[in-house]
Amino acid sequence: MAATSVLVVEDEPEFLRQYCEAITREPDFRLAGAVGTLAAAMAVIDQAVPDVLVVDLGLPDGNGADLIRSAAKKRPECDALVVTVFGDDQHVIDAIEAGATGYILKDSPPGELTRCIRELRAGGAPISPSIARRLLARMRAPAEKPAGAQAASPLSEREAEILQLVAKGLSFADVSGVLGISAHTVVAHVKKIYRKLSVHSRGEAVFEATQLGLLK
Amino acid sequence: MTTLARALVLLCLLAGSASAADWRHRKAEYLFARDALTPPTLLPWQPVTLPDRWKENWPGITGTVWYRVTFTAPRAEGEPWMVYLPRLREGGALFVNGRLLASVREPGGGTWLRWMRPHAFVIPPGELREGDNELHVRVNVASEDKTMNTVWIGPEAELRPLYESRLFWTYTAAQITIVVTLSLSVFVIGIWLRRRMDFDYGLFGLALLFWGLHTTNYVIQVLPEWVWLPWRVMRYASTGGFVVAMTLFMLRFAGIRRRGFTRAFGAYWLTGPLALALGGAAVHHAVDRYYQAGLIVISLFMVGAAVYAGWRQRTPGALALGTAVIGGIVIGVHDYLLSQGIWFDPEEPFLLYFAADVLLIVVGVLLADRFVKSLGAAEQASATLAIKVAEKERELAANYEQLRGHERERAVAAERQRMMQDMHDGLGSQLLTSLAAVERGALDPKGMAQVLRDAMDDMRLAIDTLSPGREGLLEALGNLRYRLEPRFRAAGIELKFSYRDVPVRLDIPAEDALQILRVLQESLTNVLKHTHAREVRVDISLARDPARFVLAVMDDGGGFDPASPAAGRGLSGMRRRSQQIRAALDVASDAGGTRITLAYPLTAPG
Repeated sequence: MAATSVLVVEDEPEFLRQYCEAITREPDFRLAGAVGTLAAAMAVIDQAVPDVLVVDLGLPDGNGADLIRSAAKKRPECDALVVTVFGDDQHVIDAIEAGATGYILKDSPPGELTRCIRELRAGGAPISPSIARRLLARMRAPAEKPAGAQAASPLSEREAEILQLVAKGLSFADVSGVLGISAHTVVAHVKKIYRKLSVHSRGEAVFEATQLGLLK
Repeated sequence: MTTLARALVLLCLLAGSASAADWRHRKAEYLFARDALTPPTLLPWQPVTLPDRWKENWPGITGTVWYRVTFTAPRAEGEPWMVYLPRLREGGALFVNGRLLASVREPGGGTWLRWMRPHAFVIPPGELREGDNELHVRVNVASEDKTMNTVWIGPEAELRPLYESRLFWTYTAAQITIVVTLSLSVFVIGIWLRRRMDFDYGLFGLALLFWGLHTTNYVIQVLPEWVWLPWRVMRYASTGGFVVAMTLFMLRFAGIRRRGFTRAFGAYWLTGPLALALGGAAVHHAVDRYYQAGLIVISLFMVGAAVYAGWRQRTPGALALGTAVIGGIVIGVHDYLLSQGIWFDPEEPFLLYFAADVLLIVVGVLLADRFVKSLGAAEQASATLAIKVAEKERELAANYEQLRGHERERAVAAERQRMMQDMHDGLGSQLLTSLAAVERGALDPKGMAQVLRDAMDDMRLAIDTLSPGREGLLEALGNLRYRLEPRFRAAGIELKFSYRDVPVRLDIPAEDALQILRVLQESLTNVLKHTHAREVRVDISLARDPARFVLAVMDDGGGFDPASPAAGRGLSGMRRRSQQIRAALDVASDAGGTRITLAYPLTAPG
């Protein structure tokens, strides 16, 4: 099996170094690049989009979400892992809408980065209770616009269930216990939810643009 | 407007009383005879000029009188002729060339009558002969009031329009007047009784009512005799009532409001009808002459007031009213003189009710105008009120908005105060203490990393409880667990959470929730830092009596020595926080592990 290629985009040298070390330490990972600006990162994905992006959102020359969006367009199966200081809702939701499927706190233990990448590659995704709650609200709200049109909510029943349980503070293990499914299935659902939000928000953008007469 | 209407009325009357070809016969002969059929020509017929006024020509004489009019019929055959009698007040029988043409009902047999309408009869073809023809009219003279008026004989084509015109103006128009005035009076008086607004409307309604009743005299021409007296009383009451009501109205219109006038005129109004009711037919003549004359005097006040109002107000309405009143008075005097046989050709029709109609129309228009204006004023007032209410509403909304703004500002200020206090007690002092330790050289890099990590953790907790819309302590607990999980994983310690009987919504204030979370975080990081535990369990439950939120953290590490300075610092921090939120903290530690329990009292039920 080919090594997983990872591009690290982080403007603070100390963290960039830390992440690169963590990647290169693992034999099954290959560092596709380590850059500190959005422009440099864009140049890298112009050549080839790696399997995984590790992106700090607050880059000196732009928003990391733009990079994620470009990469997702070029290679939808690419996984983007966002690095955030606080894991606060707005930044994370923005990143997920752009196409990110996971996030980790900037000061996570060294092993956490690679563990998280492995989880993503295995088809899962992490989620915190407050992000779950935000996603629920986010993906339900548009459904209420057209009266009675239930199909407007992109979430399946099971997905909504998982989000509700996570939002109540249950861990993945708890959720899998409650629903009688494996923990792996739970995280796979979460990743699907992320993908849906991304597609959903693009669809919404198109809808709004059509409304505004920008698109015909 | 009034002048125009009056001119129109007079024109029509003129059209009714004059004709291009004069078919009017003023010359006649009379004969006192009781014959049922035409008396022979041989008898001593005497010439007379019509109209023949009995009171003047034959005072004191009553009985049956024959009048004979000789006329020349045309040679041309086929053109129908007609006899037209503008006024045949007490009926009679008509004969053409000795043959009965028509009989108009006469009084007697318990019936009183007085024809106000004209009569006309077509002479059947063949009844006329070429050359001289004779028309005989037989009348019964019951009172000396009787007048034999002129007789018109001529082609139907020429006389019928005259007849019909007079019929309309003396009879049909009166019927219309009655219907209109009585209906209007019901309407106006009805409104006035219900709304009790200006007495002007009441007076106008009464005037309409009286005028309608008065005008019935022109229409009801046949009555049982016993009704005659009350009928007559009603007639004077209505005539007088109209004059008095209109005069009072006009005085008020001119701005003259004296109770004296109302009382005097009101009292005078009653005298005529009362006198007739009490005195009966014997006083009829006196009442007729003097009561009505008095009414003319009262009308002079009406004229005076109308002229005064017109002169002072100079409004079109006041001027129209003045003109109508003066015109009306002139016609009223005319009618009076006519009825008393003093001045005019007795054949002339009475005109007063046209004048009164005009006057009533003018007053009606004026009052309608005033009514509409007052309605308009009322509407404007309510519109103004609506605007004022809307203004008040806006003010209230603005006040409310301001209040809400204040509320928001206060909430923001309170939150800011809470954050400041929190930073001051927590993160700020933590960083300062660490800074001092670093400067003293007492903190190695590992220790410093720990301090900074603690500071980060604390900040994240603060952020967790900060943003609005975060209602659940459970969610914050979940977030804390989510954040700490990687560290426990890295340390090889299993982190377990369990919930018992915990509702999704817990009504715990943000600042208290933050302290609970801090105690939990402190307990958990202590496990990471100081023990060699393999498993740590967090139990979250509700206890009853009193209601408490209970948080228990248990690890299977080797316990700790509460006497050690580090442990002491950590514990005292937790105690301080617990006290702040009035929660009970219990710490138990032995070789098997440590158990920290925090019980937070829930004030709100449930």
